[in-house]
Amino acid sequence: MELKMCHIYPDLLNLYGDRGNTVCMEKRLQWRGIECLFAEVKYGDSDPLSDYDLIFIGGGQDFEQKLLMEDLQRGKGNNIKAAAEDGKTFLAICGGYQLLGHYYQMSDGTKCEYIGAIDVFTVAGEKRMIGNTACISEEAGTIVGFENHAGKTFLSGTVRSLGTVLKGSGNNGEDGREGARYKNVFATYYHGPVLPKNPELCDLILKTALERKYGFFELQPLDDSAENAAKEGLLRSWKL
Amino acid sequence: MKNLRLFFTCAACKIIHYVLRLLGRGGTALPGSVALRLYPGIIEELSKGLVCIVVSGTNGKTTTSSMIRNMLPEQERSCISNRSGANMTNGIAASFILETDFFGRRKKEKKYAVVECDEAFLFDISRALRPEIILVANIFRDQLDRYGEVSHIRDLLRKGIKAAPEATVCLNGDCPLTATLGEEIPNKVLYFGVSTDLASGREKSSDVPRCLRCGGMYEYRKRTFSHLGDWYCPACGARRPLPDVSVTAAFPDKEGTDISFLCGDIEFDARVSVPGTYNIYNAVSALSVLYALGADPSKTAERLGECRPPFGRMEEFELNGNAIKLMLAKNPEGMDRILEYLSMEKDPAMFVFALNDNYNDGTDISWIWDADFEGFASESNKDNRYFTFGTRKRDMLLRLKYAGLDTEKIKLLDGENDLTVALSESETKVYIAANYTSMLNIWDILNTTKGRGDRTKEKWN
Repeated sequence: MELKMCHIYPDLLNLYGDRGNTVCMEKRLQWRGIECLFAEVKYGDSDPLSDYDLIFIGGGQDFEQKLLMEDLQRGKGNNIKAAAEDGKTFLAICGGYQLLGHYYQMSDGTKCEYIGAIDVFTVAGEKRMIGNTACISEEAGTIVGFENHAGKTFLSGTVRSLGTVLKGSGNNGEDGREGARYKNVFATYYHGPVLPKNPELCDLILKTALERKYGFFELQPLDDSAENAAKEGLLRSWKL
Repeated sequence: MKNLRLFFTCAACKIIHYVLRLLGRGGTALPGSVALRLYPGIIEELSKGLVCIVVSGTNGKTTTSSMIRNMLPEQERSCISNRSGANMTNGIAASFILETDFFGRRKKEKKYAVVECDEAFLFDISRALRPEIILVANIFRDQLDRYGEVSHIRDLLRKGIKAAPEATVCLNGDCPLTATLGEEIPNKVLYFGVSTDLASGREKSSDVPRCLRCGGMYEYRKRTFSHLGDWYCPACGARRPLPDVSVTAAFPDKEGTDISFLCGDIEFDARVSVPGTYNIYNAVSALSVLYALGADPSKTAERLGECRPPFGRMEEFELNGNAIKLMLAKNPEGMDRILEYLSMEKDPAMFVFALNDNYNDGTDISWIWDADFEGFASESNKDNRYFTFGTRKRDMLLRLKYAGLDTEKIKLLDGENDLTVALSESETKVYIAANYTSMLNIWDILNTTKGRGDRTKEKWN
């Protein structure tokens, strides 16, 4: 039994701690005896994504996001959109989350066209939203993380939020919603990285990917006492 | 009028500093802030007539400043300096005031000031000090929650240098982010670098994979660590500048490194008496500053053998006959160098990883996932014991768990008492890697436990 995972733009979108998410997913598969084949799709690579079960896109700095626009327009953007529509499992963080949406509107009104894989759009905000965060999700319980973004993202159409904000700003600091869910796409502003302290979310993503490949799938439980203690410790210190 | 204002400013700063000390609290931030409020031009006023050397960049500022002080002529080593590493404007102001009497007159005649300066404050400090030399050691990711992106830090440094166009600037030629600043400033520039392998063997994602000029992918003829090395861009031809001061050979051991230097066309050997591959960079950058000042390079380099680590940076303690090493590690790059050093320990040992998320540390601790704990775990002795400490000890424990260490061997230390007990019960060598405020905390604990008396003065200037 195996899962094929790919990390898109590990060379450009690799902001603080993103590696922790891939490490976490790999380990939690390994601990259950599921083989994890890991590939990197970098700037300039044009592999179709149909080979992969689980696709990860991290966050980046502005300098890097500009660079990758041209690369996306050379076909990678369409590949990503097709894979999301096809029900592939995605985890997209921060800059990677924005990228899946329709556009990013700068403060002077100009629009930077993105992939449009999910019905969300982002508008530049005045003030950076930085700090510890928490939200509650129907599917994955309480999720904790750290956010650092200037863009405000708004959901529309068939896109649901990942959770309801308990602490921090979430998508835009206005509507109390955090992250996005569409088909098998999971998107969030939480880095931190988000998965190690939120094993329920990690397992939900893994299960989603495995079920699409193998049909109904029950993940063997793991000892998550250290993970849960880390999460609960933070929630306690934030008085949540 | 000016004299009166100077008097009140110096008096306020000194008195607050003194009272804080009486209360058992160190710190120059508060007295410095009050002084700047009373007299915004205080740094400029008190630095008149001094040859000022400013040290900035992400990693190695405190150690490099201490190396520079140590390499100055003997009678000048007690120069004005923010020795504790309080490197924002307030800490710098306080370190100048504490060297003067109540009237702002220097207690002893001094020639030099060696000032380490946080990247974000370089502009103010450059304008106030009109430094002779500005050293930019390197640019790495650090505290993105406070400073935003790496390119923003680079902009701050450029603005800071431009505020002192007469200064000679020493730049790390091996760091593309730093070296390319040389083309963007009017100053006289001197480059330093390491032209040999540092045998680190570990490579990982780099902070600047893309050429700043054209967006192409940098390539390396040689990589020392992270994004440092003999870099070039095949697309546009940008490349590492030829260093004026360089390391041509390096033989590191657990206590230090034997180095061959090339300075202009003079070759010579010297030993750096602080361990860790990053201290090779600190040494060559410090040497470039002395070279820029016109000192005899081979003679000054001899004094690198007398360097002691500044407090909390590879500092040695002893408890019940056991050696304890305290190491500051506050970003992925720094942590990787520490982990590399720790991997040299082949005997069973006790390791403490301490992580706080206070404002001065940066509240975002995600960086621990970028450090190569996997490499460390794979080379570790099976009889090692691991402990985590600090406000984010549970995050640190998870990091060790996911790096592949046996969770049975990792324990949480709940508070100072737990730490003291674990340290005094250890029968092996102890290594403590801690980020900024957790290091300060542990430093205090180690000094109290040992009954070394009041070393606050050493810590806080």
